[in-house]
Amino acid sequence: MYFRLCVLFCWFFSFARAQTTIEFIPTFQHKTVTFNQVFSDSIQLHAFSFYVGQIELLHKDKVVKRYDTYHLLTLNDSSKTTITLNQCNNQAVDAIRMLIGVDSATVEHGVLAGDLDPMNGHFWTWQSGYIHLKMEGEIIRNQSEKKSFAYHIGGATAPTNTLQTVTFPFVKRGNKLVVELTIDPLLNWIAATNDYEIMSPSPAAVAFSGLFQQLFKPIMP
Amino acid sequence: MKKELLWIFFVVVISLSYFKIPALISYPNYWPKPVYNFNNNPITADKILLGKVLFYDPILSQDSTISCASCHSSYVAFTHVDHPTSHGINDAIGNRNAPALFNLAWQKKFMWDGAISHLDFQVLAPIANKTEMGSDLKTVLQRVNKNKRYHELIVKAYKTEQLSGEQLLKAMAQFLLSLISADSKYDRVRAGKEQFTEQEATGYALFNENCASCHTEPFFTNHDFAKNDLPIDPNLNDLGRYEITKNKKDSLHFKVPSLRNIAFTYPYMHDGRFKKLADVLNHYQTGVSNGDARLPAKNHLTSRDKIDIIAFLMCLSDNGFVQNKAFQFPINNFKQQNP
Ligand code: HEC
Ligand code: HEC
Repeated sequence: MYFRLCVLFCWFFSFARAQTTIEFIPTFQHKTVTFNQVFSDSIQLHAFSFYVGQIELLHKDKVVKRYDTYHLLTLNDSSKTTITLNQCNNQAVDAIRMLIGVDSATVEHGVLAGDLDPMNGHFWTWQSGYIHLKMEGEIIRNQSEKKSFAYHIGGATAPTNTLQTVTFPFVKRGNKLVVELTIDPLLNWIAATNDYEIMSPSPAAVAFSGLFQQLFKPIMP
Repeated sequence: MKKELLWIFFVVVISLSYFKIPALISYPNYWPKPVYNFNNNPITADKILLGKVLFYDPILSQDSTISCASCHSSYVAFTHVDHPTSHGINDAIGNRNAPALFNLAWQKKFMWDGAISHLDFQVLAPIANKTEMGSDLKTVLQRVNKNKRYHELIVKAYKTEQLSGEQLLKAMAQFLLSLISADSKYDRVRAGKEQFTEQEATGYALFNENCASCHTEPFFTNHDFAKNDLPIDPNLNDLGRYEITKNKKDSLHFKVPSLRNIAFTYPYMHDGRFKKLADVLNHYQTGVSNGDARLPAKNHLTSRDKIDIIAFLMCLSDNGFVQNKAFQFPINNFKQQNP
């Protein structure tokens, strides 16, 4: 009911409607990562992409607006690092919640267009399911040994559910919410586990997805 | 007067639109409603045709040698007859037997292990599989969108010049959905048009007693997964449904296949280990180890029973389906040479 009123409200005062842009910037040890360039003397990132969906704007822990669309963010493609939300101007919002990945109900719906089109390469072919998050690159271990790594994290049902919901403060600079995506925990995974590849829903994928909680840090204005 | 004409016009339009769907997707009244949600992919003749041409087109495979029909031939109810497990590009051998394709609108999960949970996504698997077609959806779309054969088909089906991934998958799903097999002797007996012979009737009764709890009418599958006590092949080491669910109780469970058109679809089982129905029945007589209570007990079936059951299984052949020209190679679409 509250949503409907809100929608109506937005519509009525559509001239007062504003857009919020959420930008994601990948960082390692607080420095922005440039793709395909060596950083920290030993690491190169070739690809980093993930789905965001079921976005909810919160005020005092209550949902004030919900969005149904899914977005595929591809941080190695500068044209695909932002999400734009239409929002009421005068609405108080203090936090944002989002699903990292695509839920199983969306898969059961059948093939979809746009960001959810399997053509984007974020859908497994050998089984039905979206890849929630992809990270690919290279790392030099023990001075000279070059190893590539690839993590394709997916799975939307137990016991291999890797869907994560993250919540963080909604702090805008003007119309922009800039989110630092600290990949440190994901790269630490390599040293901790010696596991360079996860390509299917599995216990390892579930453990890896637990790290998503630590990734999203909005930059304070 | 004008108003009345308008009303008549409306009634005609509405009834036409009503009759259009049953004409493309029609099935006997003793079948349940399909599980596929046609509202998300409304069936049209143009889309089915586009899907059919794609089904028969080898440009879907990396080296343009293999089409879907290479492994799923209409003459044998869309399975692959000559090999136990299927052959793909570069003669790579897959590790599973190609299933027959029909009545897919009533099926929720696809593949022997149920890896695919919606028909729309089915086509992605063979296109990408290295032992099947070894390509990917993006490449396929680029080829299809460039190919003269498709221009008119795409415009007619989707009123667009460039097919999207979603549209290609939906059109191919439409062709698969159109493959309905519902005119076997069994169906004609149910419709009161024919009668079983005495032997067939005996076989039917035995079938209901020993087989129907898994191979359930009218599809002759309960659309579930089960273990029918086949010993594991150590070379393939295929654990079936477990590979997807990672749930121990699903180990060695495979999709219960429909037994419609079973006379056409040899070899049998997920790895094609049995060449003849007699081998299958021998398994259900002596190979069962009383794991699943629905299976006949060991040595319960007699030699006579096996013959009678096979006689009944022959009544599940739909000759009209395997001979249906609408499902065969669309030769006219392949006549013009392409750039
Ligand atoms: C190289 C042979 C080969 C090719 C080419 C091939 N398939 Fe298959 N198909 C198979 C095999 C083998 C399976 C079963 C695989 C499994 O269970 O893991 C299968 C399964 C299927 C199923 C699932 C049926 C069911 O009841 O579960 C459908 C539908 C299907 N294929 C359609 C297609 C379409 C459409 C194409 C073309 C895009 C195609 N296939 C190309 C061999 C092939
Ligand atoms: C507990 C459930 C169950 C019962 C009862 C059962 N089956 Fe099956 N049947 C299966 C499963 C599962 C498969 C597929 C197994 C595989 O490929 O590994 C199968 C496969 C078959 C096949 C091969 C089909 C194909 O396309 O390859 C035939 C034929 C068959 N069964 C006939 C029978 C007959 C006849 C009976 C009764 C005597 C029977 N089944 C009883 C579960 C069952």
